[in-house]
Amino acid sequence: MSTTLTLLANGLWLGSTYALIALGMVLAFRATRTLNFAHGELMLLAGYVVAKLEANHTLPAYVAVVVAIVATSVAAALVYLLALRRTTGMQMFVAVVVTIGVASVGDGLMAWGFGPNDQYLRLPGIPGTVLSVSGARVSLFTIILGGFSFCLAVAVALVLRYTRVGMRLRAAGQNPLLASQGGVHVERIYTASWAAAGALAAVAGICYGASNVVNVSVTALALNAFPAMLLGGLDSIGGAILGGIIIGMIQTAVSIWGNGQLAGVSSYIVLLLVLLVLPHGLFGTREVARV
Amino acid sequence: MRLLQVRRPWATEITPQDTEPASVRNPARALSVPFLAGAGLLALISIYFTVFQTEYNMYTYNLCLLAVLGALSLNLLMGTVGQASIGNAAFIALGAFGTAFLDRAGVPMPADILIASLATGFIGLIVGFPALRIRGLYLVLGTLATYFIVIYVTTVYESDTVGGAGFQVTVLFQSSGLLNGQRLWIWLLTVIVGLVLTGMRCIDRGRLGRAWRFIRDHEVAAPAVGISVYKYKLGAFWLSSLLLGFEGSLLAHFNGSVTTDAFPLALSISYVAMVLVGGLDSMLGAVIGAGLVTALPIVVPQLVTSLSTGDGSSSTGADLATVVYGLLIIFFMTRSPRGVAGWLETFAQKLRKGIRLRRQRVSPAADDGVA
Repeated sequence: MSTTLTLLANGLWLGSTYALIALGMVLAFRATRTLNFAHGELMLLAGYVVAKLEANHTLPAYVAVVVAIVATSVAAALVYLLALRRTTGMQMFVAVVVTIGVASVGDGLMAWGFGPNDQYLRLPGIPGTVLSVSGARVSLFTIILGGFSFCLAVAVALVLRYTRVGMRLRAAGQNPLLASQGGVHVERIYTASWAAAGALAAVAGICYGASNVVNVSVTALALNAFPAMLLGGLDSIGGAILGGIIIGMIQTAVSIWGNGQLAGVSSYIVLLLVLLVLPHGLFGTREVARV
Repeated sequence: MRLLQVRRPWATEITPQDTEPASVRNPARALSVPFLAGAGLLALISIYFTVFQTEYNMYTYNLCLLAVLGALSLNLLMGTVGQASIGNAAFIALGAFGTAFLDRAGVPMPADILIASLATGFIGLIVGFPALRIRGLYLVLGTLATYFIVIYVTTVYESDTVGGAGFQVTVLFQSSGLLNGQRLWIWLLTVIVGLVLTGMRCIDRGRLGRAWRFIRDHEVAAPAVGISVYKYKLGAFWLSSLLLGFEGSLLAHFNGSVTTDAFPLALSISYVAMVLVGGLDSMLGAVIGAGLVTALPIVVPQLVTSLSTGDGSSSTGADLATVVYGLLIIFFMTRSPRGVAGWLETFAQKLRKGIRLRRQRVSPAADDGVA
């Protein structure tokens, strides 16, 4: 019983983290059809900015968080404007390779600028309370994080579905040419959605940093969100949340009953299986190929 | 036409010059004068390094030559067949670990390289089967997953057998001393690279190369003209992983040690950078890219330390090299998809055009003189 509860609690924490990461990736994918390999670097940037602002300027934590979110979304928008915009119309993997280049630049710059040391975020209002539910220790933060990612996902889904901007974003993502003829400023929409994806990455990075540590391992964590995203169907907001939770649960289960190394790779085994068996994921839009 | 150009800039730009006459269908004709001149230039550079350079520079040059093998392999997969892969470091690792395994089992020198390469090729074939079903973005994700799974297997094998220190493999030419050892390695690798280049060139200019490009550009139409997408793609996966395994195997005998840490994901990305910097679907480009990208992390730190007098932290150079990698990838992907090889080609064309113009200008004048 307690093992199951621990599994549920830890799986929920890891899964919510993946869900938050995948949420940002899905948003970027919805707009520009690009898998963002630099998402982890954006998360890391936000974490570092909060840590540095707290340490050097003794700013209130909330100001630091807002500054980090703004800085990261500006960085993400710049990634689109300076690099990705020029890949419009090329093969899909070109844009993916460009984000790999961006990730490489980000890795180098951040290692150079922020040093190799681990950073810790101290955010007030993060409860350290550990609840004891029938023998299992469940951190209150885990539950809050789970609820928070869920609310954020619902918010993103609502914006996409019911607002003008959301409608334009969906249109620009599905058929840029038609959308532009319909009066949608496609580039502006893409820039905005990349900025929003950057903000989501910042939120994910800060959430992870607040409960864990900020260092290079965050980028590996972000790569692990690809299986979650694919399981959810690449372009589905709800799928990202569910996929994240499932991958988090699987990894936690493997690390409890197997070993830690196998847990790290289990998500990629799931990725391969999903690719072969269920290429459109749980809720993905099916691509119809007309020959 | 315009639409095509937007979707595949390098493909359509290259095609007009690349459709060579039917005479090239004879593989022997593939070894044209520019190709032989290039091979000669490579031999000259090797002579220069063996005669005039320090041991460390020779070591760097050897690393470049080894990287050429991997770059050629990835160029085949990404450039010629159009299958984007970021799992290539895993296959290099497989070649190296296979060699370590065979070395421990007491298999003598050339045999273990051969077996390890063939085994890696076979694993590439197995991985290729599922890869037939997926393309584009999904293939990138699939190769990423393959990379992590292979690295997991090698990590477990390493930690179960020898612990974290890694495998010791006999170093080839160790008995001839450091300097002469590097020299002999340069000769060995130059010959190997020359042979691989020749072989690849013949394949590239023959029936196989044309079929691969056809699959890349019109995958749906290929079966209609009798090209089995499934056979040719599997062949490409097999050949490219075999070459990567061969590189890994040679690398094991070159370095003398095999550890999983030597094959990070960044290594995969640096090979992607080689192919993109050099120019997709260009063997010359792969060679140039391999040289540039391999030498970069060694040259950039030297530049940094010579420019800055302040903090002598060695990691700064490596970090900057990572930044330069990334910038190179972004620049060549977005601004110059045909890479350095494309620049050279444009330059050569302009040169030829210039010579032709001058001849035209000279010859009427000569006619006038006669008249």
